[in-house]
Amino acid sequence: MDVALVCTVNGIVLSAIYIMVALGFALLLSIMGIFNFAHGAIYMVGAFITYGLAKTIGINQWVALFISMAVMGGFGLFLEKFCFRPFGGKVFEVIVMSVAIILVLETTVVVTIGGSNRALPAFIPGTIKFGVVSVSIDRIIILIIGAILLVALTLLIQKSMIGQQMLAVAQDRESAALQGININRTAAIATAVACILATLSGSFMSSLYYLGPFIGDGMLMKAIEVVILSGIGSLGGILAGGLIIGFMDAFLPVYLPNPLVAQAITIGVIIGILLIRPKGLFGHEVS
Amino acid sequence: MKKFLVVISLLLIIASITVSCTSEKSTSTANAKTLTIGEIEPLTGMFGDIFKYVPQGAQLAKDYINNHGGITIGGQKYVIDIVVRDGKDSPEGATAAANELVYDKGVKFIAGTGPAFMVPAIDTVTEPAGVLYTAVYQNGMKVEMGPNYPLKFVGSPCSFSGQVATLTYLKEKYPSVKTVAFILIDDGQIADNDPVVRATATKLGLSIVGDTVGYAPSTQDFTPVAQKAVALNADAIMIGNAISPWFGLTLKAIRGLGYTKPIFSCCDAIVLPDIAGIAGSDAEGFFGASIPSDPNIPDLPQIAKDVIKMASDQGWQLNSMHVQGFSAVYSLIMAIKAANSLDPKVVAAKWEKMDKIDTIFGAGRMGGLQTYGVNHNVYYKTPISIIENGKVVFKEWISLDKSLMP
Amino acid sequence: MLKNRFLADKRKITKAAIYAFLLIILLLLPKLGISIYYVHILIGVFLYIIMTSSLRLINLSGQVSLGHAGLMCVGAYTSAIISKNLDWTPWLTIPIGALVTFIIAFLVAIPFSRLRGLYFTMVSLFFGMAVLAINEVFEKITGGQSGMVGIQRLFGVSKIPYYYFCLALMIVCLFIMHRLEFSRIGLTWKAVAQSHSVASSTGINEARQRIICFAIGGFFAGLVGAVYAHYYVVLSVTTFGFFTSIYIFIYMMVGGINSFYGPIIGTTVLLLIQPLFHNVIREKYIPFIFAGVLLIVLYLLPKGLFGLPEQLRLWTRKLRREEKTALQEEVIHRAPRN
Repeated sequence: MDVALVCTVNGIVLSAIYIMVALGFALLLSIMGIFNFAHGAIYMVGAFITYGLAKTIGINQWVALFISMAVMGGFGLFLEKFCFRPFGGKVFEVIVMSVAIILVLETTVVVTIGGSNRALPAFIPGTIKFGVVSVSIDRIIILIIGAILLVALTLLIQKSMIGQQMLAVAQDRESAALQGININRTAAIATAVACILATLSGSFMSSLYYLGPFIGDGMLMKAIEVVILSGIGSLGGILAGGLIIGFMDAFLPVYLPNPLVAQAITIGVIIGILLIRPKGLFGHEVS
Repeated sequence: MKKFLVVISLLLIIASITVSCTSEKSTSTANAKTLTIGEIEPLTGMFGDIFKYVPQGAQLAKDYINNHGGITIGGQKYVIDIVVRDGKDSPEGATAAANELVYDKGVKFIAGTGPAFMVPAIDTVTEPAGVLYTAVYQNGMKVEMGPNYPLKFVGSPCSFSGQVATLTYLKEKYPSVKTVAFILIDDGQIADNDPVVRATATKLGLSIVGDTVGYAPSTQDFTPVAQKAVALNADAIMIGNAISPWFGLTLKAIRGLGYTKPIFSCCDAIVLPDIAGIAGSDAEGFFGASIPSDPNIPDLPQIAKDVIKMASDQGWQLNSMHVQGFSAVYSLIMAIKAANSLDPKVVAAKWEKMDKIDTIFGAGRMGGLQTYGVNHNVYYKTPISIIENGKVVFKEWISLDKSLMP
Repeated sequence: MLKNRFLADKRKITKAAIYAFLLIILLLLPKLGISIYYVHILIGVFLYIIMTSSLRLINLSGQVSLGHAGLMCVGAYTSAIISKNLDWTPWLTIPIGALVTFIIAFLVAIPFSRLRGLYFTMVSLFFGMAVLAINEVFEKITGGQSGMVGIQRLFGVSKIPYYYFCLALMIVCLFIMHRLEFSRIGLTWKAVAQSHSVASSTGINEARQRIICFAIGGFFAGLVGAVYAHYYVVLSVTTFGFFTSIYIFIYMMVGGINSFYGPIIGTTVLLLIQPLFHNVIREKYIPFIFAGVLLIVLYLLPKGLFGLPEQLRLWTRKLRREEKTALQEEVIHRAPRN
């Protein structure tokens, strides 16, 4: 069936997008125990930097993307050192801080660049046909990158030294410090990685969709949905959560006449899952 | 002691408010020299993208009128000034801005704003305060205009007239098209728009197939919308009131599914260059009620040529949103002139009785008696333009006479 | 002994005098020729003070909700829909709205009372989102994104009656919340927040207390929402969205989460930024001021604005070269306690 095929392909692509966006947010939440609501704003700024370098200065788009990722990675280090570290991981202070960051970033963009929306051209233009369905190559790239990232991150966390340190910090900050783990360095790496992930997904999304000062807000909501469903503490769980929400968003609006009902059903499914497992599908204690 | 200090701080804050606002008297600003018009626009948030042009259009109107000697009411000459406030993208943002303009600045006339949920919000402040409000757009919902809102006008053709104009053009230039699929945002306006647009189509010998395809305002991915529209197998797809990103993304999604037939918009003010910027080559062939910034368009009245020049002097490319912003202020001033009064109620009474009115696109008229129950809508001829080879090309003027838009 | 009592009495009298003075100023403000615009702003401040204080009430039991605006939404729409469709007077529908919100808050709290800390906060975030989605689904009744207009007004068109009504409402609500906090119930909640194992070992049913606390907080939120609907007369989903909840939380944090007066100060200061600055600087730069205040409080005032006098004393102590106690060291350097 034609329609189902298109929906399936779209579902996979959407899931990949949601997972990429949610990963950065989940990383900071699970490992540092903080809600970085500025994740959406960072996503947006990273995309703007890519756009600025690629379109205005004329650098090759992929190069622009990597430069932007490096810049935002540095910004992540700055964030950790000056904005998160002084509050010693106190969640609620960090929430206020993240809103301050959103305000600063969004207002700066609006004031300097203006409220216009625009789009990045495709990273690799063209489409591939799968039977009757044609998928743009960009979407396939996102899929591949998303999958690689998920696997890489999970392996990193579980196998590498840094990953183990992150887990230790997530479990018990003070004991980890007593064990000699450099908490500040661990936190810095986690924040930098989160910012890089945000920039990557933001840049791709702004070619798939569009770029504007407020695109971060919508994506933040999606990231939160995915993380609530997956639960705090599990990065692999993001895969499941992202797939569920991605597929629901791809199928429901097509098969249901009323788009708002589709939205409500997605919420309803999440509520249902939360009632059975209030900590999320794969949530477990982090502190 | 600590609490005492805290409370003293609070006292000081309140005292400073008292001082700062008792020293600012909110008086009528219709003093001898300047007529201040308030302007509320959604400048931040998702509508900021297309509504940022509207205050620019209003400024062009201000400059145009002031350059032509301002207006004279009862022997006293006035220059006009426009104070712009950001309505954010919500009703409470709009009411906050309206409250500020009405009670803090004391304006008697407000222009601007188009989104369906902001316009009625402004009405709740302006009607009781006796302030005349001229919106730039009307989304087709009953709560936006009608006999219950004597001081509410719309300065340019909008939702329904856009449907009439574009469907007329479609019928003329695409004779093979008989059926149309209709996509519209589901934020509450579908219920009021649906019957009207179908009736219009039927009158023209076209038909809208299937249900209106709606999408939620928070939609990020438009593939499901495109799928539903394409599945209706219509000869053309029509996209209703939306902002540029939604147009662009819907176009991308529909073309991405391999649909090659005509796609157009019936929204009466779209910014084709922005849409082309987002959709790229997928926007090819997309047409709608829009005008390129070209003074050499045929049948363009001198006033429009002047405004295009004024805009480009400012570094702006005139587009349909500029025109709407211009028209809201300009038609208001024309009404004030005709009424020879600065009393909003007097102006309103005169305005709704006016048959003809000067507009940026030449001779216009007041209309809407049958559609809305009040003669509060400014109508002028609608330009249809198309995206060809990445550029906006003017195609035709569609006039909106009484038989089409009663 | 006698000396202490004398001081305590003096403090009580001073306190009462201050409250009376404040009250008189607030009562007289509209008569002093303040512009209607500021009357309008203050009405919003009064309502949001109740909201923020009710959020703090919920926080007493250790629950931090980031979906508080969702409860406000329930109260607002309930009252608006009933008064619009059944044509009942707002004086009836407002209490109904508050009660319905109480019930819904109660029901929602039941499954999630077992969650603690971050998990509860996540779920509360989601609650806020769920309320909006449900609101949008029933678009025919609620108007969806376009919202509702033409809701019945509580009084007439003039803003003055609303001013006094909201002032009175705020005083009454604050009084009730103050009594709750410093009563046995309040102590129970604080015990639950401190340590759940200790609390339950003294026979307190932790879950039940958390549910009751959340429900009462929800009652106030619903009440504010309902009054909001009949004053602003326009409602939409965006009014009660994610950022509204976050901002209420921020007002509370900036004011100082540890003090009853914190939310009052935080709400007042932050809500007055826009009106006080909008003639001074261009509108689009105002978020910078807001962010600036947030950052100042975050970095310099760990106890929020309420801790300002104490913090000032600590700083000037350096100038006065007094010895710092270990406690003060801690406050200044924000080292975690072990």
